[in-house]
Amino acid sequence: MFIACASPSLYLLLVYFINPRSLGIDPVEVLLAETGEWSLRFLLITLACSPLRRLKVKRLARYRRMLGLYSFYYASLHLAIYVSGWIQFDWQLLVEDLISRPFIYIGMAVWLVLMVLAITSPKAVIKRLKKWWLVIHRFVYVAAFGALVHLWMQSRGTIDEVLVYGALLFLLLAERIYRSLTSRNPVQKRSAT
Amino acid sequence: KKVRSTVYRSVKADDPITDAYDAKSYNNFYEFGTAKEDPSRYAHEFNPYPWEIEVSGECEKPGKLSLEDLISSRSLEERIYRLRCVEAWSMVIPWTGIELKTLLASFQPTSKAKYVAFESIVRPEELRGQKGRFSTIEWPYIEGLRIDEAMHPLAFMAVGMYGEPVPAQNGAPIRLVVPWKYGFKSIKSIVRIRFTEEQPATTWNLANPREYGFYSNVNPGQPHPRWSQARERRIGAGGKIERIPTQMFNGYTEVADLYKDMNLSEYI
Repeated sequence: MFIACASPSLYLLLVYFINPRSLGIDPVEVLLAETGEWSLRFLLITLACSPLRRLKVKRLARYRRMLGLYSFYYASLHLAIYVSGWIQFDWQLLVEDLISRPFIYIGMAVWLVLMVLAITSPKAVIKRLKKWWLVIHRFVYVAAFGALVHLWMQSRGTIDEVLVYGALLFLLLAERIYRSLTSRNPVQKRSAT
Repeated sequence: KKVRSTVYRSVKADDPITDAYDAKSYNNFYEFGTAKEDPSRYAHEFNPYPWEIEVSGECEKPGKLSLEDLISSRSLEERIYRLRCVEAWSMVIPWTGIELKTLLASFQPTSKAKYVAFESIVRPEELRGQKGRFSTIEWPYIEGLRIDEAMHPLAFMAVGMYGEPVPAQNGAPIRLVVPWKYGFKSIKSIVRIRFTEEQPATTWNLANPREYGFYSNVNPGQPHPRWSQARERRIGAGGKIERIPTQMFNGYTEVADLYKDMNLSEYI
């Protein structure tokens, strides 16, 4: 499972370092797009864990923490490629982008949220934070929504991808809302997310 | 096809020419799809021949012009131009064709012709991108120039690229090349030309006026709302990609006179 999750990045980086042109005319652009999309995919898979568990598919849920961490891993790769390959350490541009371009600062905010979630994911930290952990990890929905907006903001001409990922996110959220509305003891149930 | 060719080098020699393969396999032509590799992947589905351009509007001699007439009646010249995409990548491409002015003048535009509008082909059965249901742009693709821009000696109508007919993915059989403007102004696969008194509504400007102005002159000081335009990724010879500064008017400063009374941060 661990290796399966890592393989898209291993494949992309391997091809990039051996024969970048086989990724495309602008290999960095491909790396950037792919790592960003994998981050969103892992985020959605992570969010799918608890609904799937309720559907008696329990295997995936066991890996939820790891899947979430992989989302952060791909987001970090995405950011690293943006800084090193795309703007090539042009710090002035980075600051300008972060101040004035919603497209960039939303993406950065998503990465920051994912980083906080990653830092607070070890068992010891979960114990230490008690109920605060739950509050902090609610921000995963903010991250997912932000990631979707970030994807939408880079789209030109077509929004097919945004619609597909948006529909999946909507489904995952709708299931949770439906459940919290229909359950008799929402507080207790919700703590099982 | 006999071509009497005169060479007009309007790019500096220190701009190495982009590999033909790259220019033919990495480009935007949403008629085939929105990904950069879609145009070359689906180009074979489009058969542009025979081809005719219909010219109408404010001119003395409206009419139709076939591709054969256009090529056989004029001598073609080659121009090597930088092409700067609004997405901040760029290439250096040799084009074969005629000055736009020569073509337009033969239809004798009247004094009412303040603008020229160009329209691309609509053929969803051959251009799969036109079938997309979630497209945020409308067909046909329409672009336009102010008449003095269109008459500028740098504005070019290309029928060839790298010494061959323009391939389908790059806008066969005839396309505009306006080197001092962002690439999307250089409309491909043109079927109609219209002289108008009013500024024509253009495709990207309609889709998102804040991001894509009617003028869309290459301007490093005017950032796109989503990214800086100060630099560009030059896809140069041998597939080498370099991040280089973008020049005002893409380096074609001789067009500056066209805009001397305009505030270019307002007329984007």
